[in-house]
Amino acid sequence: MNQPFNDDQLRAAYQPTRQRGPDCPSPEALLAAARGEGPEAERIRVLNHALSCEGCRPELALLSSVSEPARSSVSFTDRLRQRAIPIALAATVLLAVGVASLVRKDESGTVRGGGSDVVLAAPADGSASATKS
Amino acid sequence: MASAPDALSETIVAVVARFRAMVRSVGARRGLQDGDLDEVMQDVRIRLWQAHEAGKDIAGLGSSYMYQTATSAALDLLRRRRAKGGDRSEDVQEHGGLETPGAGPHEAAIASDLARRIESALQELSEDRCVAVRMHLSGYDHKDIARMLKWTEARARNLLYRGMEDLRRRLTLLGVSPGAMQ
Repeated sequence: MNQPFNDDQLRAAYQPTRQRGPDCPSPEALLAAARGEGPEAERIRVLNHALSCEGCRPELALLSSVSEPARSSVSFTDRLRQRAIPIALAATVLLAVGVASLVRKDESGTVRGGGSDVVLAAPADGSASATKS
Repeated sequence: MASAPDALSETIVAVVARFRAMVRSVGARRGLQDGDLDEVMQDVRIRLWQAHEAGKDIAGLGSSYMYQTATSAALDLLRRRRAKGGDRSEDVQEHGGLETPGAGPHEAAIASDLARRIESALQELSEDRCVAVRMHLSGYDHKDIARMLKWTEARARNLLYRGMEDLRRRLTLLGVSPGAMQ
């Protein structure tokens, strides 16, 4: 029975297979990718190369480790965006419902169920029934 | 008069040691080599002395100043090395993978063959899944992936999950499994 690789086995087995060559990105390009700067397609190209290249991989590790500070602010912004939008939507709906019910109360003094033509009547034998008017 | 430079020296050593520990904790899992980090820190020390001579208060320097200084030192180091034609310091102890110091040529050949098969399976993935998987396998977590690729964390997790599934399926189809590589 051939079990597939787990994450740890794949991590241990993954090694760069490229050697340093003329197509290696410059240190500046590696830094830009590490910082998340520049067009996405370029960042993907640079990272795909760097992580499979024996020469570039430790350089990317060095540059990404010493250019870390953007992390907390990006995560915070992400978290804020992810949490604030649903909360703002829920608050808007609640506010709209609240305002609508206040307006209706002001109009009639009581809150009614609307324009239904069904009337509940109590029959003589005491059992509940509904009669159409 | 000798106490002022001593105190300054201690302050610089303490600031650099604290920063080094922080960078190392982040970089270790990505394959950051101690030799590279030491060279950068040596340069940072010199730059801090120069900053002091230019009138900066070393003890009061914020972490962003340290990151900027270290980034500039790291860039200079890599440029110098490339200009000299020497790629990097060889740090044999820090090589991950299946090649261990005690491994013989047979084990090394198996590890190299497996690495090549993983690489060819990776090249069949879509570019965005492929880069997410490469980063994961190189020690970057999904937050790093999201930050460096400017993706939401949800997108990074999704592409990574699907990419890993894809990679496992392709390796299985190729008959590559832990048992088959023994």
